Amino acid sequence: MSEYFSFERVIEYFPKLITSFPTTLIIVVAALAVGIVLGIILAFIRIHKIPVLYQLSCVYVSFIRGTPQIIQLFLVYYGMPLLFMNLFGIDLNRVDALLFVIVAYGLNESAFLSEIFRGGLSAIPSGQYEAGYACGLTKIQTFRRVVIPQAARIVLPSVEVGIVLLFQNTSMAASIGVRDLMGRASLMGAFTKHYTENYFCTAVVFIVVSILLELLFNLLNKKLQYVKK
Amino acid sequence: MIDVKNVKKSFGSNHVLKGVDIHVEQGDVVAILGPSGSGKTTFLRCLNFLERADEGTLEIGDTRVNLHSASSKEILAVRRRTAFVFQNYNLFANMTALKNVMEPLVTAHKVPKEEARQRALEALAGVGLADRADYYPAQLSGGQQQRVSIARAMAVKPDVILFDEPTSALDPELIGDVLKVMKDLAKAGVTMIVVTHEMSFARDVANHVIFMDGGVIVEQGTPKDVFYNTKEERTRQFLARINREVEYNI
Repeated sequence: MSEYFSFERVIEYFPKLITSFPTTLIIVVAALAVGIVLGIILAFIRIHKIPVLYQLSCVYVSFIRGTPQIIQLFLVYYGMPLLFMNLFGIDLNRVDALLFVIVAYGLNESAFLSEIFRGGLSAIPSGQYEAGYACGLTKIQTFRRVVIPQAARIVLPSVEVGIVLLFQNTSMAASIGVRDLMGRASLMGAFTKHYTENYFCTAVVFIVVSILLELLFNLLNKKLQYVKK
Repeated sequence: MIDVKNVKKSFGSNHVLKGVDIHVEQGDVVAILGPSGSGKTTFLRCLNFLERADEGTLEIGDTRVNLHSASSKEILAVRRRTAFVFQNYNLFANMTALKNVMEPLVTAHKVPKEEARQRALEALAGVGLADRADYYPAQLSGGQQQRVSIARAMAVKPDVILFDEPTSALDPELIGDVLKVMKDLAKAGVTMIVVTHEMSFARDVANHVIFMDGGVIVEQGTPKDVFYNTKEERTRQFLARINREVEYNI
């Protein structure tokens, strides 16, 4: 085994690999931010069935949910520069590939999150809204103080799954040359001729982060339980 | 003083309210009786705009609004002078009993937090639930939830509390506690409009009884008038059916 796999090399490569972890983290955080903002807007459009926008949002969501994420990534990476060139005359060819990853992943997240948000909001009984209004709260106050906290608790487990998946899917960004964790591992594999150790290190990082996320969400979930402590 | 005139409301072709007027003096306890579908709940919901009436006016203290065309500012003003107790309690599920009572005080009435807390605790003590202040609605029985909801209503010291069948969702053993709290409120001079099926409450606590059917007020007066000197045939039928001893042939 030592011929093909050695822990000494794992220990040697790990510090070099981990330096690209911030890139992975940037993808996750930025895509999540884009996804949450767009997702809320989409959920709002779909709940209130705003004409034209509603139909468009349906097509958008089913397109995103019905195509593999790597194809969406390629479409954005190769298609967006063409689109910007032809429509606005802006040249995107020198833009960092990382940006295209963030756009593609953000769009993807927005479709999934919008459905999760919509489900969470529709699960709040109308009596909760009525109670807020009857107490003299404005619509915005009722939404912010009564509806959102309850919906947040409902969507929490689904959002957790979404974030873990998003995190793992960042590994596809390497296919357009982004040097995130996975991209770096492939590169170092080619350089050192020891792919296994490099991918092993990557797997370790992914599993550790997944476990940390799970712990964090368990904590959040406990905090949002409506029982006397 | 509350004066409601000519409330009309239709759902499609179904005319639920066909012109209802009521007049309530401060300290009055008005009981609204009637069969299902008579429009009594809709009428009550129109008064604080949970349902938008097609026509009608409401005068409450020095505020006078059109029940159909009131602006959102006017609606807010009416809602802040009234309180509503729902059939299925509708406590805020994400707040403890104490926070539920504090919420309208702090957020709607801008009472400072510490004062709101004191008033909320007093209100909870008033309904016998001081020891449940830190419990969430899901941890309380139906009767307790309804009493918290009454505490939430009385804490803001509204001009009137509107009750929509407050005991209908409760099991018989728990109804007594809620009715007792309402009786205490009546004694304390709180103005109440109560849609109810509790004949004993209407007879013993209310000072004015309204019988509704088919979207209109069929008969009204003191409990004595309505229950013992019934004038209208329709009221008599309703009361006879309610009071009849049920015979079971098994």
